[in-house]
Amino acid sequence: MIYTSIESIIGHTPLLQIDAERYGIVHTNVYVKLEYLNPFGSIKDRTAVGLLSNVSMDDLKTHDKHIIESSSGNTAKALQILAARHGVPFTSVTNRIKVPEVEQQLRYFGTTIVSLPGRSECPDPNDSGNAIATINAMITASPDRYHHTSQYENRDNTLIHQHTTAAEIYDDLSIVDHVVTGVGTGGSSGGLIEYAKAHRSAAKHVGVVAHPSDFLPGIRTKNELFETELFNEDDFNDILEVTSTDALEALRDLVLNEGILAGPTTGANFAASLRYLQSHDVPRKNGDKQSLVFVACDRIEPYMSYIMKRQPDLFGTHTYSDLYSIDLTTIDVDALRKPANAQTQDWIEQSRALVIDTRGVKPFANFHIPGSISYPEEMLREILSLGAPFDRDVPLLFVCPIGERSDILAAILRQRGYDAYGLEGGLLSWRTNGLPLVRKRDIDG
Amino acid sequence: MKRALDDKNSLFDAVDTYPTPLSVGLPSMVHENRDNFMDVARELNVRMRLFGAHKATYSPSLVATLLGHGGVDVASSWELRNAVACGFEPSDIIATGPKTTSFLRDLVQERATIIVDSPEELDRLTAVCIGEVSVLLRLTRTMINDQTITKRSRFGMDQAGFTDALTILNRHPQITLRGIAFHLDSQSITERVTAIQKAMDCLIDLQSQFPSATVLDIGGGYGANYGLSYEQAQLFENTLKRAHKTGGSMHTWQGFSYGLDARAQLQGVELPAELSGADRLRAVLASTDSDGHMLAEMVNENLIELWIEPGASLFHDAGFVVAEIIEVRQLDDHQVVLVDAHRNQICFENNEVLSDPLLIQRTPQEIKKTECVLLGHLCAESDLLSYRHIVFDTMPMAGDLLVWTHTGAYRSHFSTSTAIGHTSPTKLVYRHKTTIYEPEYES
Repeated sequence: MIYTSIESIIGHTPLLQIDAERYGIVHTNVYVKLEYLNPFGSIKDRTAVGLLSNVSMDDLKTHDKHIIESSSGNTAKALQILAARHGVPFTSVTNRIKVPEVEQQLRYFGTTIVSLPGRSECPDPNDSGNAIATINAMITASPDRYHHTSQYENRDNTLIHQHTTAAEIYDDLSIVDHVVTGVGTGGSSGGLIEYAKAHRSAAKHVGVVAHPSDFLPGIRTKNELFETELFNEDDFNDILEVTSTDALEALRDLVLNEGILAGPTTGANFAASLRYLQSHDVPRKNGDKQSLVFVACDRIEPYMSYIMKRQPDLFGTHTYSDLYSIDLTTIDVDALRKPANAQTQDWIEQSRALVIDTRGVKPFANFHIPGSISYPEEMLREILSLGAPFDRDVPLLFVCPIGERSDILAAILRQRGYDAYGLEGGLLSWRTNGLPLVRKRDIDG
Repeated sequence: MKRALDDKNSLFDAVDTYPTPLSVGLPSMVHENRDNFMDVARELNVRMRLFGAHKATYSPSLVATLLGHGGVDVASSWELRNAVACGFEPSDIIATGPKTTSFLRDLVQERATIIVDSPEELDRLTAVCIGEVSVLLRLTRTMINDQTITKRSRFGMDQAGFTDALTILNRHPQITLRGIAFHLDSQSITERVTAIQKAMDCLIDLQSQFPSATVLDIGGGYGANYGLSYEQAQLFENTLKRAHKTGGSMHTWQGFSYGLDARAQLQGVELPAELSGADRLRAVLASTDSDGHMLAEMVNENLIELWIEPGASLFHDAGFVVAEIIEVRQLDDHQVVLVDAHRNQICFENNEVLSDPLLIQRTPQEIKKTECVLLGHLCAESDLLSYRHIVFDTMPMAGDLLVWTHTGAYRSHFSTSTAIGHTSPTKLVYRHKTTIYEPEYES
């Protein structure tokens, strides 16, 4: 099929039925609305279309107006792309973009990012601070500069989901019994609810929120929901809190069992669906299986660092041989220590000792002993588990910040027959005693 | 704290002996809080010094607990004199904040280290400087922020001020630059990490010109939760927002909304963050960058000495305020309780703390939940001890005591006034050894 504009590809996403029995669900067919297949990667592609449905982009361009929105993720991304296609600049005001890849993408797209500071520790009672107040202040300061799409209160956000997302689901399934959606702006969940009301569907709506001390990209904590104009608590039969741990465990099942490569919020929706069904997995009155629909909101790719931080074990950790088990009490450490003084400085020169700085590459670049080489401890460990990259005829002097690590390294190399020493008191003593250092500025000029 | 409050006889003795309200310090808690901070440095292998912010308490006994285990950060000549009287060495005293020229003169005389706020202050310092003095330069928020954050601070130097200060230092070799300082007023861990990274880069750039600059003072702002969990704070915020949105009762004086009418965020109340005190410092220093390097390791490998200036978090749970109930009556449809204390003795800069006062009764009463409005003793409509109603398990009676466990060491001292001739709270110290309330020594 040939399309002539990317906008026309937004929506019409597939509804996938998953093998629910695998998860112990016997009376319910479970369907996933694959919103991550939207062209910019998320359900928010629809939201952006909705928010701009009554806006003339040509007018904005003619009057040199910027679109401004409070978003730290997918809405910003979709609005940015749609705006850019019309040559309209986009500004995102946000409570910090917590996922680095998302920020990188927005920067790449040319978004102007305005970040809000964290909550104050000694709050100034007269200080404003939230995103909407900041946007209002920016608009007040330059009234003709911005068009605020206001996704948290704009009814067009709800309407687009009512007319497209919900309509598509109800076209595919004649009866919908349960709908599980993450609640962010309340736009997509609100649209599904409005559609159900208008079409007299008896569907029960379950909202998914983040646990208060946790962070799930794109969905809010219960507390934050009250900041959203579009959210109406009474419309939901249940609101479930999900932790990022539960969300990521469920996500892994979705990826490996179902081939759904969606983001953490989708994992949260799935985790909430399964938890909800623990007490709601019953057939319809006529004995038929009931249906539950949840939304796969966005793609997995931007969340690798998010997942890595929370499930580091899945990414494999380096294992080295147990080099550091050496018992220093059995060694005459005084014999392997070189004091940080002028004699040692002379000894380095005369014996042509190799001075090995075991700190990181960046601290080494900041300052180091003249003539020393950088061998960060982690690299050294890896290499020492295989052999040693040094000449046996050259004395070695290990350097670390305060002389602890260097003792151990010198002892290990001595055991292997090297003439190795550690700098006593480390680089700190060297600096305190006024011995020379090569500094970053000296090299940069 | 619990032991002191369980000892009701001593407490009522103290109330009957000294004019109320009482502000009681618990020195042993300062030790515990200080040790928690220093444990973080030990665990993470960071060279760190702690300077307790004197401004957080007017209790010399609490400040004196730091002697031999840390330094003190002073913000006025009175605090300086008190630190010297406590026995702190010059190297254990640093000075922050706005400084009069006479305060600068006193600091020079006592050889304290001065955290300089502006090039103008440095100029005034050079004018009064006899002999040698050590300084740190304080950077303003925009120097250390993630550049997309527009929040400003009134303190510290911007790039131009910093450059001017360095020029002045080059002309005055008797002033030794020990390093740079900042203070970040934010609960965000990531903002603090960014600030430390930026300040560290700035410090290292400085070292080729000023090799003596090896200290990074990351200030205070670690927060205190006053016995409340983050989840409890969330529940409070949740309940208020729901009531505000649905038109339900706010359970506050005249429906006071804590700013919710104007915006979505609560204002005028301090809500505990997820992590506070030493735990927040640990989260900051143990955070890793995209290459997997821990911030603590970068500090260590760059041979930086970290200084911290905890205030509220250091004196957390180290005291309480006791006020007597003057009368209890009905007014319109409210149960009102008149208390011998005023709002500024309980709140810091007009921000309420969420932990409720404890009711300690002279005679036990039967259980009967009672929602009360707490009125202060000032002749002012605004003098409510909290805008939210407080629910007690039993009916309070005249002569009973209310105890605010968050105030003794901090709030009551910072903003208390002697308006309408009411005296400041009487300062007492409760020592575990003697189990008596002793009057605080006044310097």
